[in-house]
Amino acid sequence: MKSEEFAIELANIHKKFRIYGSPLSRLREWLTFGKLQTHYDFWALKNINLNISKGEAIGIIGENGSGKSTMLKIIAGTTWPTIGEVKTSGRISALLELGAGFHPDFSGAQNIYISARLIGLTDDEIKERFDDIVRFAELGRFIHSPVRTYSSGMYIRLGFAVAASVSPEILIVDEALSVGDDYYQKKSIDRIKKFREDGITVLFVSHAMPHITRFCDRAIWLREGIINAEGQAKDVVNEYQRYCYRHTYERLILAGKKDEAETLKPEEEPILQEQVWGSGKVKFTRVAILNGKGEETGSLDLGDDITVRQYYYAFEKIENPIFGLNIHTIQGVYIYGTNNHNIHPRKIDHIEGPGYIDFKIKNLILHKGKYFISVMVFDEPDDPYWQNPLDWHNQAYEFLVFSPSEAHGLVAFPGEWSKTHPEAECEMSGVPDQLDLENQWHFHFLDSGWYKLEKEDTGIAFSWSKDKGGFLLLQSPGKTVLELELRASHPDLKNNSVVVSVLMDDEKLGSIEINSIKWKKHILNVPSVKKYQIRRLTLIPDRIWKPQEQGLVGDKRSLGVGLHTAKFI
Amino acid sequence: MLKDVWNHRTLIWAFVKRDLKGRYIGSTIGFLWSVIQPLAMILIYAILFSKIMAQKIPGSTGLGSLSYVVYLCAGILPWMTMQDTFIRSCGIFIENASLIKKVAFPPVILVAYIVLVGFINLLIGFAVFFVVMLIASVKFGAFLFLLPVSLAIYLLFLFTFSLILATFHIFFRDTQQIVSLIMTVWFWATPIVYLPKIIPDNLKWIIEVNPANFLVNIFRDPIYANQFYHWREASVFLLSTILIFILGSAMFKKLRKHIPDEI
Repeated sequence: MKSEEFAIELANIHKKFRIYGSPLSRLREWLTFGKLQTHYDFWALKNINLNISKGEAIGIIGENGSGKSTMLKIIAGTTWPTIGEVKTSGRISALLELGAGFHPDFSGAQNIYISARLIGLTDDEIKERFDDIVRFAELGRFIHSPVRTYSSGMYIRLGFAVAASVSPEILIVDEALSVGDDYYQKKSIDRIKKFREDGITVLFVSHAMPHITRFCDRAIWLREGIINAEGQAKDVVNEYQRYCYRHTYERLILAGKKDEAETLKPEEEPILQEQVWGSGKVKFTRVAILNGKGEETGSLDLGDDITVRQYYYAFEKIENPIFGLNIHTIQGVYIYGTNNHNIHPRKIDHIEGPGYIDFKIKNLILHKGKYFISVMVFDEPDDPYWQNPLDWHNQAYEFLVFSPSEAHGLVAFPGEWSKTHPEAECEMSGVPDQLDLENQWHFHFLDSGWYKLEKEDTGIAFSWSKDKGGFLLLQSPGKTVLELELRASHPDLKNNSVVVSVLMDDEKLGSIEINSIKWKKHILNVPSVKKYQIRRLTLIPDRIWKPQEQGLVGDKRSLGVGLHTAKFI
Repeated sequence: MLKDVWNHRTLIWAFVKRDLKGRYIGSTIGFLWSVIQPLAMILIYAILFSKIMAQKIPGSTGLGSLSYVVYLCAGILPWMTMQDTFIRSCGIFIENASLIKKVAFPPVILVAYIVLVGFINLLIGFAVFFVVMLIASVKFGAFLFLLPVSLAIYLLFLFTFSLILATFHIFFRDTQQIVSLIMTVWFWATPIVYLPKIIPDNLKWIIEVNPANFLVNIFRDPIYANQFYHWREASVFLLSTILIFILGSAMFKKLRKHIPDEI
């Protein structure tokens, strides 16, 4: 490839930071003309060589402090390498910090002008793109309010809109998508996709791995300032994620949190980098994957049977060998493990010389996707980690599953839906025969005519109704009285009581007069029933009050009546 | 470096406008404050020193009872601008760290804009001064035509030292404090408020070697004394400013690459 086809060329880039212990130590060093060296050097980047072709999208991943941002800054030209050479061709737009240079006291519109000029737009270009920027930022009339009054979401939207308005040939995005709500994220991702389609070179730093795999052709994993891995985005991300898992695991073990660590994936812990290891007394010579018809294949259908045929050669006689088999998803999730020892027990007397063994899974309930099989063999049970195999091929064999329909979740258990059963027995329905909002679950039986559960200073839990509020209550045979514990809070309650009409299954039961702000139990007679029945009760106060009108600014509710308990007695 | 300044002139101008507007944003009369402040100061001096304390410098003709006020303002206006600009310059890179670190952006234009803001305020100050003096029917001499030359030299001086201070402050964060202390002391070591002749003979040498005196004189000669520059002083001042400008630019160029890493 000719060099003109590269958008970015990094050759032998090193970046050194001088770290001084204190401000005084720098002074000391300067005054002695460097004879008294008190700083130490920190190499943030070491020997970075990278060519990025025009139109390519590159993801850069790595832990915090691995040098990602420094690298982007060097490419963006805001800082320089200590050693090495950077060549870029084309206009660069760097989204390193959204809204850099905004002045809080100036309006969004004024800031657009200065910020766009900062990133290199001319006056004419700004005028031409101004409307687009405003539209993208979706600020409406706020565009003329000072930026300091903006929510953080509005602020970054505006920042992104300005940065995206440049027509760059190289776009550098540093975590700019990790801020903001889902809507903003989707919008900005769409915009970056559009840049991609236009053939713009994109450099992308993110901790969100799905973003990397979705956008980028290639990924680079920086670790302590060097390129640790480079290649297809998916592969590098996979490798990085496994490293992160293992790293977390080791840290938890070191911190003495063994239990917590076990919930991660200890089975992957010691074995990730090598694919194959073991004492070598037995070797797997070939592993074949067969479908239900016995044909050797790499792809299966949902519901198919799968047979894993493991050809081995035992260099010496092994008594009672234990074979094992694991399945992982492409993300490295351990989804299945078996052996002939205690999971699917089958005693094998001995193996010697060549042979094969099958493991058959009936009715493969895995979704569409790629899966990895590991096979292993032991000469004795090695609980719990099975760390001393004779041979172990880790995630060395893959197969694909095709399923006709849409896939959700990890596994596709066979299942079916019944028809609905309106004749269900009421006492089994879960509706309680007494409602007490101290029990938070009971809020579940209130309809939408209520405000969310509150607690008084005295600890009583209750809920305010809106203009009408309904709830469910189970009436048992023999119970003929409804007891409701209610209160109101209308400011003029003393002179003017609130009358609450009580409806049961849409028929009026009676009225309750409330003239106190204290909790009080009220009773009403109800017709008796022969068998359990779910009752729908509705409370309709004759007037509501609005706290906002009493000077409680910000409380926009319209309150009816407060409910604490209800039951049939 | 000057090329950077020239290439970004519209941006610098936008910064200047934003700064001038921003200072009084939200206030009712806004930009008028920039005029009212020096106006109030000059009126107070004029009334205080010509009427109440009746300061008059013997032997100065044409300036009448306001001769001391003219003497004072010719020195104090450039001095105050210099003091404000130097102190602001020290902090300017740190304040705009996010721009320097996150936007490919030549820091020198920040200094240019701070200097320009100071310079514009000085021009406003002088404009107010001359209007007040003309109303009080003070007659300036013919050498006033040299004032633009003085302003040009002053601008170069202001830019040179602001750039050096701004760069220095990144590496030594005490610079701003030290500068503001030195400026206060220096103000009184320079004959701005008082006349040189009140200094005892055995201390006269202080004024003779004090470069600030040269600076004040390039304004005082055309405005107050109505004479051509003390040519020796003025040329020494101009040449050393140019020399320091060249050295300062070289230093800046060398340290430029470290700026984003240090702020």
